[in-house]
Amino acid sequence: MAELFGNFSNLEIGHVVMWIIGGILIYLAIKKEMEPSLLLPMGFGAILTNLPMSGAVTEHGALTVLFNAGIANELFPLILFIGIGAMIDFTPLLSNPKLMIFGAAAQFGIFFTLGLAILFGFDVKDAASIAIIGAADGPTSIFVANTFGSNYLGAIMVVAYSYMALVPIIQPPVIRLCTTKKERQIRMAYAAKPVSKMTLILFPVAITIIAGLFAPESVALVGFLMFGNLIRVCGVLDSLSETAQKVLANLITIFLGLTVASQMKAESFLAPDTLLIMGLGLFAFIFDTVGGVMIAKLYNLFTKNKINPMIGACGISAFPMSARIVNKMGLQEDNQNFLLMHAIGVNVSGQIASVIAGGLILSLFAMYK
Amino acid sequence: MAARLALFLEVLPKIGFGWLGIFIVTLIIIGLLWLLEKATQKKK
Repeated sequence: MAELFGNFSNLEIGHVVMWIIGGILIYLAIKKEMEPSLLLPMGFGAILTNLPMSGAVTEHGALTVLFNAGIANELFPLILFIGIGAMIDFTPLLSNPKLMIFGAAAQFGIFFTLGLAILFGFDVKDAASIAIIGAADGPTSIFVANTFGSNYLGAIMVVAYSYMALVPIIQPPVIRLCTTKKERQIRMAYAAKPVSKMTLILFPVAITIIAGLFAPESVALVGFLMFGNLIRVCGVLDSLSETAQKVLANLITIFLGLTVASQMKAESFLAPDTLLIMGLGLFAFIFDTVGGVMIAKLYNLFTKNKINPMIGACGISAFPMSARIVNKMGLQEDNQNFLLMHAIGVNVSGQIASVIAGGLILSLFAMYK
Repeated sequence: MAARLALFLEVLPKIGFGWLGIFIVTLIIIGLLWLLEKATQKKK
């Protein structure tokens, strides 16, 4: 009988706290439908990981094996990028390429947070890994944090995905603070400009080459994303494109969520630094939004055809949630103000810019690895 | 605190260059897209 209850003596308060955190993630996934495909596996994985003497996270445990096979070598995020690339339609961006400026602008939070994290006492590799939470792009966060060998990989992954799910709560008040009602009411006509198939095909190839030349560390990230997109637009690999968008992306997402949770061990996760990382991650999201909106306002100072500065906030990359929020906010201000296509264009440019930002950070701070 | 500030000042130029770098890459991509569209329009 004593053997049956033997493991109970290994139970610590930290384990129970992590079960509660896991339960909250599962609740948010099911009840609030916040990134359910990730938060649910992560929540369940957090419970799996924090059972005393859990066999899932021993040296040869299933989650450890999955971590070594898919995250320690950056394979899962990269494969997921093929699926994401296959899902993205770059046409709204290609019909109005200048929107890309706002994708670049909205990476401001990453660089702002990097400096802030250093001032808070993190070393450069950890600060850079924390800052990349502002990419609002889970795979990029994992890739960068892993490449830098950050000590906070688990917390960074959890915070990155949680804030991506919280974009509808974080962005609207920040956008309202940065804009006037009159600015939010600016209408933007949308005339769909045809984009040639040649442009659609050459775009992913050109982006890969350009990004690779400037930030060689980003080649794997950009390359896999653009390869997925090339499959989509080439027109001769429809079944592969469909598989990448659905089966491949879903399969990796299941493993990614569970495996990420293997890093949520109570002893390392329940630390003051985790709270600090949550705060810094929030700063990154807020200042990404501020950067995008402010550059859009600056752009309006020099042009006759004003743009609605709210679309600058979509450069945050959380695709397509950010674009939907801005469209909804536009409609709240004026029920004939349809910003969706412009917002989508900025949103996909944010996806590209966040990957380039990840690559640039890896290149610029390589010496601190 | 002094050590943190020194490290911050050491990486500050890289931080600035990083954000600027994204704009540079973006402008090159925009220019390339413009050329690409011109070329394909001429072909039509």
